[in-house]
Amino acid sequence: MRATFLIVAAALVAAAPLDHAGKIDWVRDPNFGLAKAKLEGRAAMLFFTADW
Amino acid sequence: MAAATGNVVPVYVDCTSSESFSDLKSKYDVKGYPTVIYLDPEGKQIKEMGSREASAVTGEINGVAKKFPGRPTFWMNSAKGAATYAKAAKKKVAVYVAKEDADPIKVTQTLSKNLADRKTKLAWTWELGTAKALEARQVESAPAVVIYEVGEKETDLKMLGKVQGDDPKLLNEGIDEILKNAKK
Repeated sequence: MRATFLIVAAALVAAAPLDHAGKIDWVRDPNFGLAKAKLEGRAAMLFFTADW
Repeated sequence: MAAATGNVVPVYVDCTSSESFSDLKSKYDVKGYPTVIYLDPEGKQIKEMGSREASAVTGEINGVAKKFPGRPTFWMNSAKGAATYAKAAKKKVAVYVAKEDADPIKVTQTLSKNLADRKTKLAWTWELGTAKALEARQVESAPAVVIYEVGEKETDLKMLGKVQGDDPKLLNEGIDEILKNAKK
């Protein structure tokens, strides 16, 4: 799972909004993320992951 | 490329704890990790990530973003994002710490109506008022607004003040007072 995670993460970094550290500027509260997408008329990208 | 594809709202759903987000996992039939689901602005599933190839995933995100170009709001994705913007725009950061059962649509619409120019004077972001978040933001209860000044680095946030409660008048007065004191 780790390898798949890294490939997906790399692709997401290439395509998503980034913060000052070059990391994806994630919304951490899904309810807010979906509301923000609705208010802004944008698509949401839900990234389900687990750190085991 | 980040600028071109900033039109998706990236949501991190941490399912490390098996009970976390069970409603979302069930709704979108998530069976393994990582799983990426794309939704339209109304929350309807458009597609699931079809490829694990980095370039193909990038293309998928670009395609989805292109369909929904969107419009800006005053909300930033995170405190880090708000700090980056605030530093560049010489503004202060406002973190809205929401009640755990708050409806983000209702709250943001109410705030949008009541905050007047405080919406643009500050770089706003939203955090769910979990026990951990309340402790980190040094507030006793949600809802609350905590205002920070950004230091040399975007990670250096200095608290200027906080306002608790959801009375619009008190909220605005509290924010104004904090900003006024910050000027002194």
